Amino acid sequence: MTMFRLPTDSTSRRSISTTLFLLGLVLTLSRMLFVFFWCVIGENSVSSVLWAEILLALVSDVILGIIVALTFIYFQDRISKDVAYETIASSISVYAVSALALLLLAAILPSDISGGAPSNLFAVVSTQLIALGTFVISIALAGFFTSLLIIRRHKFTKVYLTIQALVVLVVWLFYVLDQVESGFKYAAILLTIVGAIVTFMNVRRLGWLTTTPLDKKIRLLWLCACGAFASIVLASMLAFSHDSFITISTLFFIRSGAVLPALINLFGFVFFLRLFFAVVAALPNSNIVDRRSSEVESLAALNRLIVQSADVDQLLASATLFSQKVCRAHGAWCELFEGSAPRVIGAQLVHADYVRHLHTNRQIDRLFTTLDGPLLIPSLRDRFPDLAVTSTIQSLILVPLVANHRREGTLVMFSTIEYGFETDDLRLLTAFADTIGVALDQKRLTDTATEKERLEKEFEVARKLQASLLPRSSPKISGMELGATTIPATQVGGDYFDFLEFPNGRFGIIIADVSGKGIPAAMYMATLKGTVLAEARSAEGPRDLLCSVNATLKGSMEKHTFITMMCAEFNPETSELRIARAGHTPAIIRRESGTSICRPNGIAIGIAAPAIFDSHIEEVSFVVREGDICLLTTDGVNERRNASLEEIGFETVANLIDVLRPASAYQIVEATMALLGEHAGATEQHDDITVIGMLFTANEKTNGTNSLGAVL
Amino acid sequence: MTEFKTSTSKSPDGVCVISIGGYLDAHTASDLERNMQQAIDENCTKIVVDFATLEYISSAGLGVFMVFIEPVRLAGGDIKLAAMTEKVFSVFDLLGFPALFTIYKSVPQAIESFSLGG
Repeated sequence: MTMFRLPTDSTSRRSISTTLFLLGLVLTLSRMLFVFFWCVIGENSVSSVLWAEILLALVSDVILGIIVALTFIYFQDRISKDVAYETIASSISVYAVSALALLLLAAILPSDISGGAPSNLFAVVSTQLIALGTFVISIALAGFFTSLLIIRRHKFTKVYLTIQALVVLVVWLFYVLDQVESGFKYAAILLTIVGAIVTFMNVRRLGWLTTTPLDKKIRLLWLCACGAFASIVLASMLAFSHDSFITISTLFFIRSGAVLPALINLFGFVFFLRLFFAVVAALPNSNIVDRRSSEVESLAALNRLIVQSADVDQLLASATLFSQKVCRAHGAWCELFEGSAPRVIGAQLVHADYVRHLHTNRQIDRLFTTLDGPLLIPSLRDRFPDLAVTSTIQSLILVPLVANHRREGTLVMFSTIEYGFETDDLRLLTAFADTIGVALDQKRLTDTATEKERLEKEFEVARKLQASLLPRSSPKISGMELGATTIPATQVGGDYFDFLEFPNGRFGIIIADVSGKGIPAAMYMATLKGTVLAEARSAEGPRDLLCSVNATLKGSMEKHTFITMMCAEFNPETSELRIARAGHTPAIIRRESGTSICRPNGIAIGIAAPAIFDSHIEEVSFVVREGDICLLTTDGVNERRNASLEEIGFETVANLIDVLRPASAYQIVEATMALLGEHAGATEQHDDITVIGMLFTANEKTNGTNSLGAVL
Repeated sequence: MTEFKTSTSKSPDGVCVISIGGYLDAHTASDLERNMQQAIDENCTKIVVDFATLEYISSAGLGVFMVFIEPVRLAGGDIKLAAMTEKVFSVFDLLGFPALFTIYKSVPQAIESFSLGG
């Protein structure tokens, strides 16, 4: 049934509608005027002259056509939208009210038509208006009916609609023919019955009724009854009451004109009847539907609340308040298991202290903590007859809150009267608790992720800060070249090295390792640097420096923390190298006489009081020559493990130094790192690694700084 | 990697012998710490730590002894270390621990030292 296409923009639609309306108005007025002059003034019968009858019939047909076109445009606009309950209800009420008003009007107006012509001006206007009203109401009903069917169409909708339209036209034709040959009347009645059956079959897809709430269904029931009443009265008036004003008017408007509105209203009656029974059939499940829909609505509202909550506490507080409202509980609270006493959140009508006081009762506390599912206690007095603590709380609902497969707490609703809850409340609260549990999970995950991100940023700042505490270049010292590198196991580490100048003009090389890893170790490392720089100003040499550092730090360090440290001092004037060790990994020295491990006595810093520390520490000295090497490391070097957990060991490193002929100090560092890489492969590094290489050269009397070439 | 094991037994002379075995590192140090604390809580201040089956000790493991040595000595007792393997001893030695802790070749020697007033 693809009819002509309407313009899609609303402005041109409106102008078409307006033009049609004005044309109809003009035609109606002209028809009235003509009838007035022809029948009332001229005292002629309409059917007395053929041309007058044909003219009036043509005008009436055009007016009818305009009504059909306007109805079509009106419903075409609405057909694109889904017809909701509101539209259906208002359409039916508009129809019923206007149809009944029309019937009432027709009943009270005097019927001043005699001999096929109105007898006065009032009769001319009234008959015309009643006829127009009948057609407008009937055609609009047909339009509403059609659009409703098309929106919720099924496979045969269009076929059935076509049959209905054909039935209307054929019945009309038969009715006209019946005036010539009387047998057609029976065919027309038969066809009308067929049309009614088709209408009945065509009204389907009433599934939306099931989900309509009870109050709306009842309203619809009333409206259907009114609609059915109006349509059947209108239809029977037009069909059977030949001397009623409505029938006379429609017949006067168009010959046999009563057939069309009568049929449409009859089909309308069938439609209303069908809808009525469908609504009646859908009534019994209304309670379930209502409850379900309110559950779904409240769950959706709960979810909105959850999304708006800033943190876990706010989430729980608003969810508790919301649950209390939905269950119509007198009071509520939510408690989380934290420590010995529960943490009470969002308490309504009770004070958190009262809830904690409740938990002092052993029976109640056990009830709360051992709860393994939602529980409704209709009467607290019946359940715990010897319970004296509470007079406020008479019935209770307890729902466990479970997040991440762990029991987190309880959502509690209470009533101040016995049997204050229904099992439906329990079911609803269980659904709420599930939602809250999931939300708790999500909230915590997000919080953890945010916290992790923050920590990562802070770690990055700490890493940069620590890197800035280590030297980037070495002083250019006559007779010695320096190379160094440090690689923390995590972003920050506890290894420390430094180059400094003693007051006596000699150069100091410091290497140290704070026990432990990560941020705490890095904090000690920073403290250590400050102490070393401060003490070096007045220290006389390696041993003295280590003693001063131990004396300063011993009291302020945590008991389980210690620092191993080694200090080497090079005198460019005499090429003398002095070394003192505070529990640190030994140094490896290669001289002309051979490679040796330098391990003077000494206790790690932070372990022993100055008296013991100072008495145990030794200082050794060597005279070095061009080509000699000294390697300082932290224990991350000799304890570097491979995949089978074997440490590389001190000997292997010493053997490397023994045969190494480096061109620069940094080559010592590179060779050591390469050796570690060879041993460990891709095995994860568990400890910070620091390597300092010293290469002794011929004396050059120049000063300045060298690039360290270090990977920091 | 061998799992860390620790157990406490009391000798007839009232000396607590805490045996440790396996790997003593940052993850397992708390087990030893708990055992030590328990011994001290039971008023046992004469403690011998049996290192016989200990394979590895990290700085966190060493830290445990540093935490307890002062309170135990203040209470008139001592912590004596015994039966270390050469490898474990070298760690203690490198750090200078022998200056603070007395280390014995065997557990009976360590227990005996308490009765000798050492």
